[in-house]
Amino acid sequence: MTVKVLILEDNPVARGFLCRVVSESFSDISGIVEAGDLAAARRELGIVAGGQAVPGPAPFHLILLDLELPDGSGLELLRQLSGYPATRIVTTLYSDDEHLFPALQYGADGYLLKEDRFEVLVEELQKIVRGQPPLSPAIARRLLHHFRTGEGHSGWGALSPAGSGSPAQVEPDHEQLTPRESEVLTYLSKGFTIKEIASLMGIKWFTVNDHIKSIYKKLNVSSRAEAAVLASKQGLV
Amino acid sequence: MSARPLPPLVVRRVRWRSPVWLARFLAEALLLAGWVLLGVILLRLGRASASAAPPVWAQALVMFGALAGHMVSRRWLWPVASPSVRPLAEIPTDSSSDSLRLDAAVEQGRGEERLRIAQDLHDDIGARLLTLMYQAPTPDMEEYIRHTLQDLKTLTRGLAAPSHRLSAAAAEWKRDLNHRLELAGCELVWEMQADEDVDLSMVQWSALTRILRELVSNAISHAHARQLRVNLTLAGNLLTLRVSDNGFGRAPELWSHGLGLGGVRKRVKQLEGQVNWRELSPQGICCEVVVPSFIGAVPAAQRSH
Repeated sequence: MTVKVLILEDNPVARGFLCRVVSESFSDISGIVEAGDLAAARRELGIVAGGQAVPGPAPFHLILLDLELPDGSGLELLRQLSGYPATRIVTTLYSDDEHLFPALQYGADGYLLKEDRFEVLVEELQKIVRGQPPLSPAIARRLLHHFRTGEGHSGWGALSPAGSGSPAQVEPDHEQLTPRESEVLTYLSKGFTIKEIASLMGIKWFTVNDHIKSIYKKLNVSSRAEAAVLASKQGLV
Repeated sequence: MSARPLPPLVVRRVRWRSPVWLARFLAEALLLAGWVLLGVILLRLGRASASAAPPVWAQALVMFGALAGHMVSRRWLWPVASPSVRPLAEIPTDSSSDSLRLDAAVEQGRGEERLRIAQDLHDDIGARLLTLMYQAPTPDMEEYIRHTLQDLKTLTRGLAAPSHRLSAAAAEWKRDLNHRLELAGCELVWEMQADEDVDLSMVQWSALTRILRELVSNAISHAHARQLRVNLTLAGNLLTLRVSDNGFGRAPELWSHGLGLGGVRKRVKQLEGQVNWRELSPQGICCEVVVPSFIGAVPAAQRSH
C-alpha cells in the first residue's frame, strides 16, 4: 500500500525539510500534499464549517502538523481529526509538556522536534509510525497526574485550565492505569530509558513499549470521549 | 487572595515645544539668570578694589553656588508632589494588606512579563534560527546554529517555568544526554544522589543545564569518548558534579578556554563554585564542579517558589 502524506507547516523552508524527511523515511510514498495554514489543510481534508474530517476516496495515511500557525493552533485541527484514520504527528519547536500534553490528549500519535538532525527525525518518524510513541519525563509526570486525579475532564488542556477542583472531588471516568503501566510511567518520569526500565522491571523492552502504547490509547480514548461530549454540547452531531 | 486593582502609574509627558514646555523653559531660564545675577553682584561686592578681577576660584564657587541654588529653587516651580512619574515605593498604601497586595501584583507582573519575553524569544528568534539552520551551508555551521537554538530554548524554558525540582531537572538532563550520546555511539553512566529534592532557582537550573551540555559536547566532539560517566550529588548544602570520559583528551592545563570552556567557567562562577579538569588513568578527563553552598547560594528573592 502506498502512503499519502499531508504536511501542515507555515515556514516554507521547514516544510521543504519535512518533505525530505518523509521521503527518506518511506519508500512507498504516493504523494505529499503541503499546506501553509489551517484553512488550506482543512480544504485538503474536506472539513467544512467546524465539522469533523471525513476520509474521502483517497485519504491521507500520515499527517504532520505544526502547533503554531498563522490562522490558529494545530490543536484545533487535531480535534477535528479525532475520527480520521491517519497517523497524526505534531512537528514543533516546543519541547515542554505544556504544549505537547494537550496535543497527545487530542489524539496525536507522537511528536517530532524540528531542530533535531535529519537522520534523527527520520528514525523517530519511523518509530512512531511503527507504534513506538516517545515520552519525555515531563510528559510522563503529567500523564501520571492526569490518570491519578482525572485532570482534563473539566477542561480542554490548553484551551481551558486543566485540573480544576481538588483531586478528591474528581471521579475519573476514563480507563485507569494498570499497576505495571503506572510503574512504567513512574520510571519514565525519572528519566529512565526503555531499556533501563525493562531491566529494572525484569521484562523485555518491547513489553515496556506495549505498556506505553496502551497508556497512549487510554489517553486518546478519554480524549475522544470528551470530544464526543463537547461536540454534542455544541450541537455539532 | 482577591486582588483589588492597583492605582495606575500615571506617566505625564510634556510635549516638546508645546506652550506648557515653553512656559516652563522660560521660567527656569529666568530663575537661572536670577541666580547668576546674584552671584555676579556678590563677586563685585566682595572684591578688594574696583579694578582688581576676582580670583578664578571665587568665580567658580559663585557659579557653582548659582547652579546649586537654581537646582534647589526649581523644586518650588515643579514640586516633588506632582512629578511626571511617581516611584512605585511612593504610592501610598492603606495598610499592610495593601502592601502585600502590591508585592503580589508586582511579582505577578514580573512573571507575566518573563513569560511574554520567553514566548517572543522562542517564537520569533527560534523560528529564524530554525530557518537558518535548515539553510546552513556546512554541517559545522548547522551544528553551531542547532546549539544556539538549544541554548535559546534553555533560556526561554528557564524564564517561563515557575520552578524546577532537582529530581525533575535531573530526569530531563539524563534523557537529553542519553539521546545525544546514543546518536554518537557513546554509553552514558548516570549516578545521582541527593539528600533532599530541592527547588532550583532559574540561575541554578540554567547554569547546570548548560554546563552538562557543554561538557558532553566536548566529550563527543573533541575527545571522541565511548563512555561518559556523570555523577551528581547534593550532600547537605554541597553540590558536586563530576563528568568523566574515556576519550583522547590530555593535559587540560594546556587547553585554550574558548567559548565552550569559558562558558562552563562563567556558569560555575554564577553558582559561586569551583571547577577543575584533570587527567584520568589510563585515559580520559574528569571535570569536577563543586558548589559549597548550593541551597543558600542564590538570594531568596531569586529562588523559585
